[in-house]
Amino acid sequence: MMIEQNTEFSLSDLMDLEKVCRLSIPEEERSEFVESLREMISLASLLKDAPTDREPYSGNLEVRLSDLRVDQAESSFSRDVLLSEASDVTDGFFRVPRTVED
Amino acid sequence: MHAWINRSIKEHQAAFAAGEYTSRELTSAFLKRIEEKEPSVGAYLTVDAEGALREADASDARRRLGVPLGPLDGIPYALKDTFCTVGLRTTCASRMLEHYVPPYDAEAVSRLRRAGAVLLGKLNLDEFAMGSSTEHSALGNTRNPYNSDCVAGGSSGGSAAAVAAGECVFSLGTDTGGSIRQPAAFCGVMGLKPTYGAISRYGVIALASSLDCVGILSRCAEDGEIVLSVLAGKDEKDATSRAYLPSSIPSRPLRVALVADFLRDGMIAEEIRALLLESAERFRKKGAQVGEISLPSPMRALAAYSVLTAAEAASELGRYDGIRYGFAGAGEDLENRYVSSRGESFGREVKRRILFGTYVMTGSRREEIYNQARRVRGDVKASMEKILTEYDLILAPATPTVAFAAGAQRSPAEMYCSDLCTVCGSLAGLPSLSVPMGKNMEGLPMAVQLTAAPFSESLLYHATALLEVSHESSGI
Amino acid sequence: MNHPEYEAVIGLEVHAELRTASKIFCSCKTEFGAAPNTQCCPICMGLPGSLPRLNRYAVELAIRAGLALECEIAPRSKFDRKQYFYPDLPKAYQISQNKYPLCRNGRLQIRTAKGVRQIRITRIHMEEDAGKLIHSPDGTRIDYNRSGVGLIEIVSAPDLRSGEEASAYLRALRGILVTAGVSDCRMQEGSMRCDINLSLRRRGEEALGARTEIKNVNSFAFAEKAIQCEILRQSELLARGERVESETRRFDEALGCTVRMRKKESAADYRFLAEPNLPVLCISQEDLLPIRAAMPELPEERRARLCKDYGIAEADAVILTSEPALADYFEASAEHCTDAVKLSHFLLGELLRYCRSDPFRSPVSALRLAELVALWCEERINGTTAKRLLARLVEADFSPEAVAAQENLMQIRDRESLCAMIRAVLADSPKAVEDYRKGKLAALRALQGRLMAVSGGRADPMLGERILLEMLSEEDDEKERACE
Repeated sequence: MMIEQNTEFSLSDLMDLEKVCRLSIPEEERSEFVESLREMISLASLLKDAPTDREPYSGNLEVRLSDLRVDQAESSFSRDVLLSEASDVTDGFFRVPRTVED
Repeated sequence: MHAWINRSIKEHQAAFAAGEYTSRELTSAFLKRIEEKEPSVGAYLTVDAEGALREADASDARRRLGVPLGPLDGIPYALKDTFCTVGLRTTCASRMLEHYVPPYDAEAVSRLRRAGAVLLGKLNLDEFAMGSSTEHSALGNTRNPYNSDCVAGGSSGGSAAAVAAGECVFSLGTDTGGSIRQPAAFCGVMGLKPTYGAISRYGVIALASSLDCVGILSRCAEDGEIVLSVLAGKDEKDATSRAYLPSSIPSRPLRVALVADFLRDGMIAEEIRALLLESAERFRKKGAQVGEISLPSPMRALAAYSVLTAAEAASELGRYDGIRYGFAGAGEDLENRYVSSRGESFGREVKRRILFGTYVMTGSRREEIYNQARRVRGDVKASMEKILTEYDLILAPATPTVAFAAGAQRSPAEMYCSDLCTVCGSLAGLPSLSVPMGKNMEGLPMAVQLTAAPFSESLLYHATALLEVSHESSGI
Repeated sequence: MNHPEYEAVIGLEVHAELRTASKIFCSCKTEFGAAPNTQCCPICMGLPGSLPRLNRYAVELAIRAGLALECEIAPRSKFDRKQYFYPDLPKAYQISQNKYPLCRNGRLQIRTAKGVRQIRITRIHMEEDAGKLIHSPDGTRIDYNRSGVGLIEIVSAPDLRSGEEASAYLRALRGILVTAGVSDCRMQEGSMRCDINLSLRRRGEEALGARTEIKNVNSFAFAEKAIQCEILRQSELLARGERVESETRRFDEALGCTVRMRKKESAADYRFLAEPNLPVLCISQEDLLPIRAAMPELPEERRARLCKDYGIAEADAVILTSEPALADYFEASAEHCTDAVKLSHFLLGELLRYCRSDPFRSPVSALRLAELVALWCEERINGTTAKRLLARLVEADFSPEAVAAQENLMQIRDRESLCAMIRAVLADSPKAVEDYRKGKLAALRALQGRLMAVSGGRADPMLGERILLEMLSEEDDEKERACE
């Protein structure tokens, strides 16, 4: 069960990935993260040699038009309940720091 | 300790009917048991004594008034803390959801409520079901009821430990790649991962939706079958759920496939290897035909499993941004708010999987790794199905060892082998049962695992009789 | 300022909200304008544990759009998660269709001053809308009412060459989607939105220049203007020997030009993941039969029919059918009017000035318009009066016939009255009569003008002219006789 260890994944790769994931890894934990991600990447690299001549699996389930939900509007959840778990709420809206208008 | 708590569902129902004790008395006995055992086991994250007694009273009232009773009326149970329960906090053992109270019930919970079951509380797990020891819980420490120096397994560690310790009649867990079967094996209880889609996932907080299954941890096969009959079936709210059409048990001698990969030197502990061979022998004695098979490219299956769960988990966990619910961090601008909300509340294992899951989806790796993993999954599924055209049951270890010591550093190879026992069934969406088979010299439970064709849960439970599994009291 | 050596290559991505009662993956209402966050539930808010439930009618509408645009409907289509973080996206992914869309390979016919062209439709896929962000000084507010409303995205091939064509494409597309009942396509409510992909190439060459994307254009006029501006901007850059940056821009309505939003270099990687909670969507030929059968007459068929049934000009029929509501109005009015050709002229030439609403809504009922045009056709009122009455009908409803009679607006057509008036005109204008005799034709026009003035604009112009000529020649005869 020996797998060749990936060594390409670097500290800066980790930091790029943190940004994409909206996560921050404390500085002192980063080397350990690099190490464990290298292990996971090494395992994943076994897939590269697998045959590629079939469609990627997307479940064995199929749904027909007649099985789908009928278009009928129902009353929604109470807004108070939906807002009750949020940390910042105003006038019936959720609120976040101002996003740059783009 | 009340002897009642070791009884089966049918025995409880008979006792209720005979007026031997009420659901309130039984529920109280379990609440007392929880109080006694929790300091050493730590299975529960939330105990809802008040709610449980209210439900028990309602059940007793139904019985008194002659209202038609559900198949689980008055029976106390508990849930892995990934099942949404209206008004009762649902944490996924994460700081992120530590104070989260869902506004709706999971479908499985609704079905149990309708069947009259009494909810005692919510059980510990590895944070967001990522792990196999329940040591990755941010909110509590669960230990093996048989030896508190050992782990209960995971991620449904609380669910397994609670049943083993007599802290509930049965529990629900979730199994993505072994998260019910492995802790059930470590704690000596029956752990069923049903066919993918047999039980609705609506309201169950996802790890990896294409693999997640709701399953049942019980003290005996009979209890498991009763609970399954309540839960299984199409739910309009879960498009991947299916009408439950149980396949019949063959009347001819069963054909059992022993997975030979595990018999090789060093793959699994000697005591488990012996148990596996003993199990094969018991099947033979009962007239079954036992053959040997090999798993299809097992390391690739493992790789596919780890890639798919991480990719899907990273996707599922994107929604936790602190805006609508969950932990909200500080931060002057939006980006900092995201990073602090997520960074300060997710544990290491969760972060690791999100990072890895995002890594395999980025750029050309989406094709090279993620789509390849999906292809391999298709291969594994086809191979497993082929095996099951020739055999009725696949016999394998549920775990390569008994419960390991808490805090133990396990090598990647050890973890791979552990996952290898369970992931093929998950990738193929097959029903799989962890069957407790007694204890080792140190008194720790050992188990084997049976896997069958889709919707063959009855066959799995039926086969436990062939393995001469006795309904032994936990006696802890 | 023109750079004819360059040719624009334009593709449009149009989002249209599906006209369903409930959202695409949950049962929440889709009504526009509700109080914030009152049409939400665990599913469209992305609460933990919630799962999507596909709306059958949403799929049927998307299929209708596909059939109306002559697409192939995929027997198997799949859903994917398009992943990115933004506060309007509660799950941090949008359920969409990436590799296997519901519809492919369609086409749409457009008409411009330059003629008729076929524009290829690459694909139509289904997806869910995001919530709405409202920016205020104290932060950005989020309303998830729109989150989860069903959308189709219609992607054209890069076949369009000008702002005019793009505008014609959008109009034709809206006509089809509204007619087929797929979408309201109300651009001001955001139920139809358009992204424009534009690049230039040297005429006769294949190679395309760098492409810019203009996001979220929300009117036909802005789309046309944005494209004109962008073509000019890019061609000037190229003419100066500069490079066009690949970037995302938006149309600034106040400035009337496109401005940069962000560079494309950090192009978003959406990490499309196969949606595990929705099975493969299977559509059979049998499923298509009732949808095809229920398909209403589409604008192109209707255009042909209007020409044939009403004898109107093709150009008029094109305009009428560009707006289903306009064509409906025309047909409703034509039912009460004998001269459909005049009706269409009057409708397009006069009434449309008063219709600023989008989509078309007339301030005058179809019946009233028919009555008014009938008076005109029957020459009971003249054109000037008809226009004046129309202006008043826009303000208030009344019977044109009754008011015309009451207010003496009917055309004067009896010979007696006209002869009397003309006699007076001739007596008052000896100079003009004299000039006419000398052969000045303009003098006749002057006399006609005098007649209109005297009659308060009511004299039947044709009859008036005839009598005028008769009387002028009679006078000649009299004079000649006098001379003899």
